[in-house]
Amino acid sequence: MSEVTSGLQSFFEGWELYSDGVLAGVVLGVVLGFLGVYIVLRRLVFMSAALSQASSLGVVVALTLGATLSGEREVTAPVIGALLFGFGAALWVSRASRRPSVQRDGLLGAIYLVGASGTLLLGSRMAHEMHEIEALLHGVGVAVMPEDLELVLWIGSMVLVVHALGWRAVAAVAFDPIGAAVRRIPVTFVDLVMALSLAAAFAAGIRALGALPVFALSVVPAIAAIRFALTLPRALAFAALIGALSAYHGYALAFVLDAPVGASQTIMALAITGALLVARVIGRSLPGKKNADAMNVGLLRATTGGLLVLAVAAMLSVGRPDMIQVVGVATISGLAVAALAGLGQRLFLLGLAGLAAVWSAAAPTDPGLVELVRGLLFAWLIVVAIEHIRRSSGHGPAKA
Amino acid sequence: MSTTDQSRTLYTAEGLSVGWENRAILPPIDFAVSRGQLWGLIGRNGSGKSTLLKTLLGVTRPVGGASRLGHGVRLGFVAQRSDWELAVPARCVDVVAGGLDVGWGALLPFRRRDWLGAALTALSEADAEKLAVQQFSDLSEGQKQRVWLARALVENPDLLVLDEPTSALDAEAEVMVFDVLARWLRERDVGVLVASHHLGLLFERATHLLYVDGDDGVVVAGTREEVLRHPTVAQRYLRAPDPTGKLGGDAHV
Repeated sequence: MSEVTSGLQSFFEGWELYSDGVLAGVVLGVVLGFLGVYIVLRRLVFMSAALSQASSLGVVVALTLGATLSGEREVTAPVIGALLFGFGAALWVSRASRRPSVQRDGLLGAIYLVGASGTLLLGSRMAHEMHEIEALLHGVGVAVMPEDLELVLWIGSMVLVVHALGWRAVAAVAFDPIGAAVRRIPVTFVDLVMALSLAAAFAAGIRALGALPVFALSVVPAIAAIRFALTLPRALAFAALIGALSAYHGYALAFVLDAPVGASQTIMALAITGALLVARVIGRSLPGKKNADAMNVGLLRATTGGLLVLAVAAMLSVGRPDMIQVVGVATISGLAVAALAGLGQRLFLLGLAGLAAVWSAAAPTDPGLVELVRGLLFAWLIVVAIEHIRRSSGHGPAKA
Repeated sequence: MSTTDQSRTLYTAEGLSVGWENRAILPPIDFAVSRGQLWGLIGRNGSGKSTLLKTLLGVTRPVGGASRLGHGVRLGFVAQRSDWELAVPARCVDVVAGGLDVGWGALLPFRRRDWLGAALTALSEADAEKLAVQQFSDLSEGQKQRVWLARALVENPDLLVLDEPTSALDAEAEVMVFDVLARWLRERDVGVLVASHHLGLLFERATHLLYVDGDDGVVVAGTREEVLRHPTVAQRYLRAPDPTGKLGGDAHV
């Protein structure tokens, strides 16, 4: 326990040093979690691994071609390399994804192998940059440079805005390509946008986090989100939220375990997803279909509320590391409570008590901000409770 | 063809060659689909039906000849059931509303104002209004097919194209699908083209047939009676009794 405390203590004491890394991770968690829904639903999970390696190779090629590790090119050249290689690979796979799966999987395997072996081969010739290569592959880096953070914020916001606006076209082309072509939706243009989004998100992610967490965040959150959400937009939002939580708590976990950040973020994503899927299995095993439905609805409300809390707190938390901690704990606790909401009134109350305990343990020092977040959180829980009671009394799911 | 006939024509194929990479897989085809007609597209597996449909839909370029959709004609399309990923979380009303996403307008953030009303109306037209808020993946095959029909109908198409819509359905559900199509032919004066392996109902309900066989290089198009009397078609379906009883003397074609 003392190790946990001292690990978290060093995490928060060094906040000024690590805050950029945490923020970059959270933003990438949102973006990769969001895009991951399309990757998983199109059964292109291996695409994430292949793109990670292609982007890594792009970075190493850029470094090999003469980019230095100082000055402006330090950020731009490797990222441009990752972007070009990632875009080429994404576009290629996108075109091949409508061919027989044997051809598609073969292509993905080839991209993965060329990327991985090329990265190691070229990396081994740059002994002085081996640490950089290691960071690219496994995400061992703790700090993120301000330029990298800026890049992540730009790319992240652009990808999210584009996809928030055009999600219906993206979904139509992803899941019903012939129908989309018949309805004259610009399939080629949408394919290009998707490939560019993936390449940009992976390029920024590889640079800031490394290949392993990028792969994990683009696959694992989507697996849970797809199982829980009733509609695609909600699955996208839910996956983004799980991605953000995984990135944030994974960062903190790295300090607790004294482990690499990338591996910790991967483990955290798996743990959150695993917990949600177990909760779902329990909910479905209870008599009657109503319980599973109630849990779904509760989780949907939790997602909406969690995103609201996260967004408000993110705005308020600039320069306030204690707020990030509060938001992280509150959001994940709220999700747990919402999951319990589907299991019955008694367990729901038990979850509320658990939340109160976690809250007490995590209460930071700023009373004003705590009150604000507490108010939002409780409002969210009330919504969950009302929905739970409404459903328990026999009302159907939300009307169309 | 008279002026009236031309105004009712929805689609015309003139010397149309379909295939891949500039290699035709069928002889040139001539046919025209008009309002009030139900065309059945028949042939063996791998005979070229799907390629022909994709060419008609504008997804694949013709190898030769002309494939012309009438001016302003709106297409509705029901794909094979295997083309949809069931893991996509969606209520039926969401699946149907997807049919409203047309052209570059699909890139705009907001749907048209009455999208919900249009989706519910289409579900009602397909006898599926009770399924509106159910998860699409939870439905039976027959229910899914009704939702697919609603998705194709939601934009009020003039020409409805269906690719093996009854392949996974029991006899009752199959009749239901053809009943919906018949109602649309009658009430909306649309044209319908159905590719199917289930010949019983198709031979009974179709007004026209299009038989394709890439292996033997045969294409026959015309009214149901004309096509079923064609020697190649008659030989292919010789063992099948005439389900309509309307073909005259030769009860077994």
